[in-house]
Amino acid sequence: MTDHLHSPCARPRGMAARSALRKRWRAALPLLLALAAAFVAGPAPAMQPLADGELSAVRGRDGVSFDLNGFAMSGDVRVTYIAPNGASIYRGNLSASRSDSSDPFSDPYRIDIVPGAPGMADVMQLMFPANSLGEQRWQFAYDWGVQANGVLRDNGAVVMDDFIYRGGGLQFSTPQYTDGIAWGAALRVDIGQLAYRPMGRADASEQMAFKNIQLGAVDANGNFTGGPWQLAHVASQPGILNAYNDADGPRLHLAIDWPDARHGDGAAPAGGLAIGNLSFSSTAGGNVDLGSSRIGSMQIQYLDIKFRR
Amino acid sequence: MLTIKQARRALALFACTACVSHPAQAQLQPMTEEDMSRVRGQGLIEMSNTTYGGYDFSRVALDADITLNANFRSTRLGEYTVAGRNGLGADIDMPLLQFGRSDGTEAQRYVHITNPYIEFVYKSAANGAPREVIGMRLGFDTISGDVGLKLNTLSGSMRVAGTAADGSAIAMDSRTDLAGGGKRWDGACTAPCLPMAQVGGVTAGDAAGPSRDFWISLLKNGVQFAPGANGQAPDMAQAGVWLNWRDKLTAITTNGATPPNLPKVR
Repeated sequence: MTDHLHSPCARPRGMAARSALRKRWRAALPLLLALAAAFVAGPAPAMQPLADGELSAVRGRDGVSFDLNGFAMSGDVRVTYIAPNGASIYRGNLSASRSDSSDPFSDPYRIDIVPGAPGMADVMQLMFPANSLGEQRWQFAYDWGVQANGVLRDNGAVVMDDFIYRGGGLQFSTPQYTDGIAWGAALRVDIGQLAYRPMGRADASEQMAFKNIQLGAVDANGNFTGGPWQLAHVASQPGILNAYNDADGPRLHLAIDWPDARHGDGAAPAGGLAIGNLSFSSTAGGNVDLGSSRIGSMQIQYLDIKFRR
Repeated sequence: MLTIKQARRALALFACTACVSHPAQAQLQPMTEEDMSRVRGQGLIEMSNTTYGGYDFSRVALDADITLNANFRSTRLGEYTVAGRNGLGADIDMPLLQFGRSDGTEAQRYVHITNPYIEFVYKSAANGAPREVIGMRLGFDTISGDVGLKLNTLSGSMRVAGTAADGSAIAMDSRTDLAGGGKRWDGACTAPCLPMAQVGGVTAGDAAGPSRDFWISLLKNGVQFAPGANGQAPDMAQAGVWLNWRDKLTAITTNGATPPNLPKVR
């Protein structure tokens, strides 16, 4: 054997055999490592059935997000609301577009189901983009008019430039005490300009323009905090949407209940509204500047709206 | 007579029909044409187009009854410089506006409002001139309840009835501002009267009904609005921010004290 291995003739055949053996070891190595790992880890635990109580504690941890990066739409769409007496109001030729940051899809809208306050139902919440740098900016425009008293008036266009949501969102859940839908809403909105243009959206020579509008949460001194103003919250100050039955029959009912100290501080959050400037421009009637306006602090402690039949 | 095969098919068909039809019958009921004729859509919004004094008005209102408790603080509307009496630099300077109060009965916690509206004012086009937007106003058809109110400056037409310490009738009335016509009025008046600084709030409405002429306008020039629900023509609204409220207002206090309006404890 030794002779074979060391003889000049036998040497090439021995090297070939060792090479083939090494290849087989290399091929089998992953399988062996897996077997060794399984041996070290021990046997896999058997599947166990879940009791009903445990099953009820299982909650999804997933959610849905969507982004409207670079969204734009326009077209000859008209939406008309017709009142029972035949009068109507329309919006048409709606255009909307959004500009974004250089990092698209990084700050989406998010929809999640989250646990409610203790003893309360889960909550579906739609969170708006944080948009802390204000880079997500909407541009809106639509035509509008009113038909009533036998007269149709095309009132021109409404144009909103640099409409910026910064945080906030919507909540929906099951009410604590009534039927219908419990809701919450929080808003921080900045609008560069809101203009009413009777001669059409492209004609800024005739307009009433509100510029630099801010709506958001304020502190006790009426200063904007930079956060959204919470108009309603499913636990601490629930909004309600349902049908209300009274002597006149069922009526659509929209409400915000008193603050609930069991789920908060018992106070309605304060919001502020500031308008940087209100001005009128007109080639026929001249220009007028009415300066700025501000409501330092607003608290809605209770609101109940019952629409008539 | 059914064969066994036919009987099986009939039984299967009956079972399927029963499964499908019974739940549906429990939820859906046929309506007669008479029932159907009574179904009407609810009106959420009311619209109107009117013309008055050479201006066109388009109004959009919520067709609703509203119950409200709310606080507004540090309101300054129309901050621009006025030649002549500039006052505190704003058309309306209102440190406090409270809808409802918390120191009285349960009913006094709430203010009742009907049909809040927004109305746009346009100047009618003539001789090919472009149509011009003159401004807008916000208001309610009616309002009733206790409203806490502190005013430093008023541009508008407002009257509040009160009772002097000796029991005589007095009033805060912007029509007594002959010098300024109600523009940036500080509420000072010549006795006997109720100075604006002494008004801590108003009760809107009386036993005969609610107050019917509350509105705030934002205008580039003066506009005469049509008579309201009370049938009376309001004073002509001046350019700028203008508040109109004269119908059935009684002072809650005549010492300037404003009632509290804290949230209900739950």
